[in-house]
Amino acid sequence: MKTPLADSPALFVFLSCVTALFLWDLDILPGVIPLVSVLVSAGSMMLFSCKTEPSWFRVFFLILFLSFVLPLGLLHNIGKDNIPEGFAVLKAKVIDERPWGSRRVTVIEDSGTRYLLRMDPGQVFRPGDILDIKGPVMPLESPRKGSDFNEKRYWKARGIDAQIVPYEISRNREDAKSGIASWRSVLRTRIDTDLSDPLRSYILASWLGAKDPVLREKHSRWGTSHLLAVSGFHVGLVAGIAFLLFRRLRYRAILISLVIWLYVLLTGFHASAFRAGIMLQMVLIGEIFRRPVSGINSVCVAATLMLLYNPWYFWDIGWRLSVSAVLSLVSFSRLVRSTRLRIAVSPVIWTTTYPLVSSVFGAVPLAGLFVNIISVPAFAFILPAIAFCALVALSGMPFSGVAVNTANYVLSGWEQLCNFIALLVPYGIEWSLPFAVIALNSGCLMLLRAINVPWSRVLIFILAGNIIVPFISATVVV
Amino acid sequence: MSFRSKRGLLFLAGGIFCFVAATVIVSFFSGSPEDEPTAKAGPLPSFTAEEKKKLPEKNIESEPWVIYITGEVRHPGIYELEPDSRLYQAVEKAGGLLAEADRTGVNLARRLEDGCHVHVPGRSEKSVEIETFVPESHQSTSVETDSVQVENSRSSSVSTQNCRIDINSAGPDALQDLVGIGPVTAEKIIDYRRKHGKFNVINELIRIKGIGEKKLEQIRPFIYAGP
Repeated sequence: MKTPLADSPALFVFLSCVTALFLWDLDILPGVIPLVSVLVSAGSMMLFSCKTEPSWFRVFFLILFLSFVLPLGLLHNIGKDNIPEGFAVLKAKVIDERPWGSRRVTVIEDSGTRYLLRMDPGQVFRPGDILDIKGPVMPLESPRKGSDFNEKRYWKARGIDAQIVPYEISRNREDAKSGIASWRSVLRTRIDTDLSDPLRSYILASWLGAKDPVLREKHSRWGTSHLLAVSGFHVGLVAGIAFLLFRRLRYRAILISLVIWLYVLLTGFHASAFRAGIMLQMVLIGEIFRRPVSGINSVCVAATLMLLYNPWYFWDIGWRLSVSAVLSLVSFSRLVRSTRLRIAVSPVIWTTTYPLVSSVFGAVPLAGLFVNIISVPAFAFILPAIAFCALVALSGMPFSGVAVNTANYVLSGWEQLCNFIALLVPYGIEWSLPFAVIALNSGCLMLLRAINVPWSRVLIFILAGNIIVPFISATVVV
Repeated sequence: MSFRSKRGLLFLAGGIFCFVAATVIVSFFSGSPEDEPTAKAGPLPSFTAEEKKKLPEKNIESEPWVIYITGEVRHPGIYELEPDSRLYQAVEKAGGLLAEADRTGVNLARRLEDGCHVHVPGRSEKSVEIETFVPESHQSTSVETDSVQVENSRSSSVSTQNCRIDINSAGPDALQDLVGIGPVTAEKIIDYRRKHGKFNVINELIRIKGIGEKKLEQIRPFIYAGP
């Protein structure tokens, strides 16, 4: 049995990065943050290890080094504010466009800098459009008083640096459309015109990450929003299909990697898709070099790389849910080998993500506990099947109408089943501190046991965590 | 005790030490350095209970601003905004601009002031706008208790909002909203106020180096000398 240090060394580096961002958020003197991060990393390594493996100290010191250097890099990245203030006269490309409250927002990119434009509901530009814009560049809005939603962090996590208040805005008709944003736009138009609901909404969500408000509301009622958002589940399905297609080929790992990253690109680099892409890539690299890869280690490497790429992901609910859900999933799969007991995986993820979901969205639907038990395995078949039907329809092959109708029939039946379960269990669990503490401790316990930390050390760590975290929060906030 | 179990205990002690040290460091360095004064400048002011009652209870800085917005917006009316808001935030609160709004005639980026009235003109309304909101007498006391700004970045024609700037209370940022007033001139205006007190009339601005007759005439419709 491997020691935690040998099994998941990236966990300790990830822990130091999370500590650094947590302390930065609490306004701790930046100079001491890397030091505290190293102490947390060293403390965890020592607390979790009863025995050692040969030449453990090399790994130990390498992790200590990374636990100092990477938080430094994170602090450097998060501290720099590269807002090119002034009056902008730009020719920029539309990257994304979506509804925002009663209005719409458009994300544009010019020379690697992304800006946000707030538009009237009638002003719609499609991704890939080239816009001529004149207007002052403003910083992103800080959180409003009395509101928990921090708009600045939300947009920063999406790589946006500033907003422009446009005096003049017009579509540049001379420029030919090119690039991934344009391809996404073309595909979206085809999906909108060639497919009918509910197939259209599911395909838009799973291929392009564009969620239809009606479908989003339904899934949030059923507690299955994760099936709608592009996530590791979707990337895993794509990888699985690619594996089935290329399994006999010599360079299958490279081909599967290519398919995965094409899919991630198509989804518009969604946080969870990006995380899953890195994770699966690690597994594939492991296969190429014939080295076993630890699931927990892969998740931690992926999550750390994402933070290094954009530290604002730390405050993104999508990133947090994605990482915590996958860590729970991998830990549970390691602890429970019995296939029959694996049916409990959905309730386990539901429990461990409860503190996050309830604190942000208000209440976690209880129906999700039951719907997820059947929906996750069912969607593993439904999604590829409807994607096939959509491909038939979009490519204009014979029997397109039959394919679309069949997919719609299956999806409608599925929705009725979910509605029925939601009617049977119409309750939701609101945020509650005792529940949240129990859920967090259960998640910690599962993760630590999965990396072979002895029971005594697990209990010491959880006990210490339950004392130290509230103490620090109280000390710092007061 | 075997070497292995000794090492295990050492690791346990080391781990606990690291966490305790991290906690101590965090609690020691928490909070910003400005939390407490580093030196005392004199005796602390003392208040009697009566005097305390007279002190303003509300923190004016943190109170929301109340803005009145009319014209070509979806939902004209009175809205509360965060202090230091800009016009586009008020427009957003009011549901956004209507299609008839003169988009180039309003400076959406301009800074607002508490209690001001903003009118978003329509495309056909420009001339009426000036008549309505810029009174001939620039120091009358009807609408002009509000701050003001006017600018059209693209043409020389003037579009108007009835927020006018009080040269006796405006800060450097608000002064810089005026056409032709940069940071240096704004600072000179504030210096003048410090040395000579408030401006009695707008024409006193001519004493500021950097403001000539031409510039004064340019900015006159958009300023007033408040009490």
